[in-house]
Amino acid sequence: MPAQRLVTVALALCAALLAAAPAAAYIGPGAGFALMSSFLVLLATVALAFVSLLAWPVRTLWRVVRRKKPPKAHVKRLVFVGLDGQDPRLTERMMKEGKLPNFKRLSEQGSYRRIASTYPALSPVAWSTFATGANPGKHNIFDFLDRDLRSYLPKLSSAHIGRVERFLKLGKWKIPLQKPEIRMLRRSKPFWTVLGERNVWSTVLRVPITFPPDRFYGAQLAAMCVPDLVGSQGTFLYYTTRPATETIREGGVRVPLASNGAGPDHFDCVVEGPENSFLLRDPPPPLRVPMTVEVDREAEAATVTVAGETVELEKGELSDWVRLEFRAAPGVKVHGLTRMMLTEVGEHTSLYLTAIHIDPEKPAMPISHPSYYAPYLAKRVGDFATLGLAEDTTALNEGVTDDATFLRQSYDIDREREEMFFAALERLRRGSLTCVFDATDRVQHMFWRYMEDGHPAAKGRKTGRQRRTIEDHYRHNDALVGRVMEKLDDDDLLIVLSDHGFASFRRGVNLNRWLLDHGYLVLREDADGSEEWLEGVDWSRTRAYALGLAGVFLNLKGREASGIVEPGDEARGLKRELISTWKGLRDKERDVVGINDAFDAEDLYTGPYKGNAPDLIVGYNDGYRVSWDCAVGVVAGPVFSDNTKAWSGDHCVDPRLVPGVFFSSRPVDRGDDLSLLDMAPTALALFGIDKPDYMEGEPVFDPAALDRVTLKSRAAGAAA
Amino acid sequence: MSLLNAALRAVFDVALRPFAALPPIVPVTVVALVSGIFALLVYRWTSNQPAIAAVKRRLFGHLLEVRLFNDDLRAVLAAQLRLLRENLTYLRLNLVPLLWMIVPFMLLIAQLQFHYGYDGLEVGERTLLIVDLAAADPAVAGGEEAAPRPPIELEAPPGVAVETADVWVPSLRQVVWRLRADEPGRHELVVRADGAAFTKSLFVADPDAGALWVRRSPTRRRAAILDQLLYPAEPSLPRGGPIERIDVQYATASISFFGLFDVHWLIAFFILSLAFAFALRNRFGVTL
Repeated sequence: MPAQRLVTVALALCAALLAAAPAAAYIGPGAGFALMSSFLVLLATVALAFVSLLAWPVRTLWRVVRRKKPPKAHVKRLVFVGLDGQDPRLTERMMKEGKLPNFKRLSEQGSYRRIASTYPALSPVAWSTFATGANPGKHNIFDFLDRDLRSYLPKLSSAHIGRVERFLKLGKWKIPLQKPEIRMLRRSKPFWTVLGERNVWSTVLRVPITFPPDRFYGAQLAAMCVPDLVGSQGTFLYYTTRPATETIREGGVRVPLASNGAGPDHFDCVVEGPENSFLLRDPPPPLRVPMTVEVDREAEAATVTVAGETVELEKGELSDWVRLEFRAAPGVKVHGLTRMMLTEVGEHTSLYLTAIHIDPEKPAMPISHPSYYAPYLAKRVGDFATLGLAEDTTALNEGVTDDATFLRQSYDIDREREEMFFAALERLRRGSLTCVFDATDRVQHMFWRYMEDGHPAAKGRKTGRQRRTIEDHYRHNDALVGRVMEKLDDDDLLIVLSDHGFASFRRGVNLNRWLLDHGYLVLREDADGSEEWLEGVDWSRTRAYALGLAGVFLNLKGREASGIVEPGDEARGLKRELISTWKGLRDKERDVVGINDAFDAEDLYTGPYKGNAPDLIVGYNDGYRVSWDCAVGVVAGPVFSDNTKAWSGDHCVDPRLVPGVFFSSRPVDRGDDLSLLDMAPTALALFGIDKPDYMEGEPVFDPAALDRVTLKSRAAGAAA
Repeated sequence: MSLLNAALRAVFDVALRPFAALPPIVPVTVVALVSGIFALLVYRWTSNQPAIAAVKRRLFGHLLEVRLFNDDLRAVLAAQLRLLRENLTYLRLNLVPLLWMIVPFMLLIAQLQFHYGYDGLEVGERTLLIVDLAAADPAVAGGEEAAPRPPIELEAPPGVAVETADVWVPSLRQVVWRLRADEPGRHELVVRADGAAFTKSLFVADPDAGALWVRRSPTRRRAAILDQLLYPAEPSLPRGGPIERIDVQYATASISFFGLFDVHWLIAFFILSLAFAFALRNRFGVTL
């Protein structure tokens, strides 16, 4: 009641003020905030309305003149829902068991097929083929990693991020006079660019290998290979009072936590961001924000203060997104997002921070097209993960986080993605929408070990509830598909697909060790093979080496800096020799075939970039994959070894073993030979556009049949 | 209310005394800074900060939407409708802190108006003293104009000359004198009516002392609540007395806005208090 009375009095005062002299009518900044802000918005709204109305005919005319007019479209909206890694065997079994009613309904209404993946069956390669309709020889993406031909060191295969070379020096500062060069290495136009050239709008959400984003008529949020704020592909931070017994081998940094004078429960530390390239120092020091951690041991909680924000943490609970603001120079700030979790409190205190994501509201790098699309999405759906591989598999692999935290993170990211997807679908009236959901891939990578008996990564672990995690996730996808179907009309077309399936990863294969044992790879005399990134290799005597997840390269003369294998007959002979030896290579310890086959890139690929491909693609058997050691260029250790990491399922095997799934809301006009190559030509054909010459696949729908189905549906709807 | 006004007069007189000889933009800036901080604190405690942050996000989202879908007229117009709707929500969310701020800011502004809103008379300058008499007895035949002029006298202190005899305006029930300021200082005029005496202050600036920004009261009124709120510079006239108000005509003052232009003090205060509040909002963790 007092509050009501107060409001009444205040309203009376407001009324009195209206009658007061103008000079007394201002009631302080409070009114100013409201009136100024509202007035500005109103002004902007009215101005925008005018500008939009005036500009619309001009823009329309310009579009018609500049871009070719599209022929008749056969659908109003084309929606691609990508479920990265959804496996056909699991999907088919669960559909048969009645656990995926929406997938079942979609297949009955339209089609279900298995769809061939790429060589190798890796997401960057497969989604690039999906987007361009071309084989890797034409789109230039063969793996996550490529190698530097001069140093043999690995480099990112999809994007080149250069340094700024021109500066203006001002005292201790250097002001960059140019933007750093960030270049996409994928080649061939994706279908959304071709659609845009014919005036068809596309929204592209988190399709792998879209960093930096394409420029086209539409909107795009970049995905796989978007770095974190420090420029890596995801580096988590682990603050701990525990003495360092083991180093974190992949994707993380351990930061020692020591209490200071303020008491044993008080810790002062810093969060390090990207290097401060505004400072005239070599190397530039990292940007830092101070962080304090105040631990309450009894309550098993902590209060973390960082960048002016206070976060209350309970042990084992992942925080919401926390904003980090790094001051680089006067007036220059770099913005990031992280999530935190107190992983232990007691004898020792440990705090986990996810990799620092680029803040979508104030992106430090180009993560969307147009540049304001990421801020727009952040305004609409709130903060979201921007890192390419956002689900922190490495922290779980390293035992810093646990299964539950990883799942929470994955589902949160999935929810963010879903909100973006439906926001985009709601706004799309005509054109295409493509969105890839990654959680299926990540959850299978990390939880496969619980699905099968005797997996080395599940040894000593309870497998009760976790055994159903992947199945639960497929049901989650099924519900998503149901929600999407509800939002679509008769003249829309929905395609749900995956880029590859999944297999077990029980045993790792260190091909570099095999090459060493068989004399194809030679170590320097001072090296023992434990060095990372092939540092100990004697290149003057090495003929072949493995790098990345599926590729083997010849040390080719004239290509590699210290190449010794002559191109031509010698190279072809060496490849034949390796293929014949590896075909059916057995893991003697388990008496199982470890490698099914190896494939010559000459036979697999066509196009101008096939020279950049690995010379051989290795087709591992189900249960086998390149070992962790081999993946980071370590030669030492056994050829075959158990995989005991949480990352226990994979798809980096013989691509014939891991096709993807394809569902459509209309029947396809093809047999069972669907391939990811067909998707881009299909998208173009649905909007009445002929595929360009470089696209290799074929449309999977008959346009005339589509039109008939649409008309029939409309007639049925009208009759109803 | 009278006690409150008396207390506030004393507080403001003391607080602003050190600035009296300084350019008025200085005290206005200081008060704007303090007001901005006070407003931020009130705003933080009384507003629904998460809701305001959310509605602002949506507002900016719709603004970006207009830009993003500028080829699609229907989408643009729909976004603009959403903008207007969110704008109303934003205004509604601002209402609560606004209500909390009304009273303190009214009191503040009313006090400042009498320090910086009027120029003082200069020696030799003339002004009118206007006394509004209470309404006549409605029973008198012929109305206001036929009502008799009540006996009323003016006593001017030394330093103020009464230049004219009183002028009676029956239709307005006003008595008017013309005064001339002869000596600087704060003078007390005495108006006698119905056997009672009522004072009215008159401030005359000292040309040798430079501009002096002290309280000047152009009007003294009866004790209605609103009048007490808006005109607190002098004690109210008694209710039921023969006089409704006594006015002295001062010119409206302008102050120099950091030498850039001359402006009414309230506009300077508006700009500065907003600027300080916006500048300090992050430091105080407030979403505006």
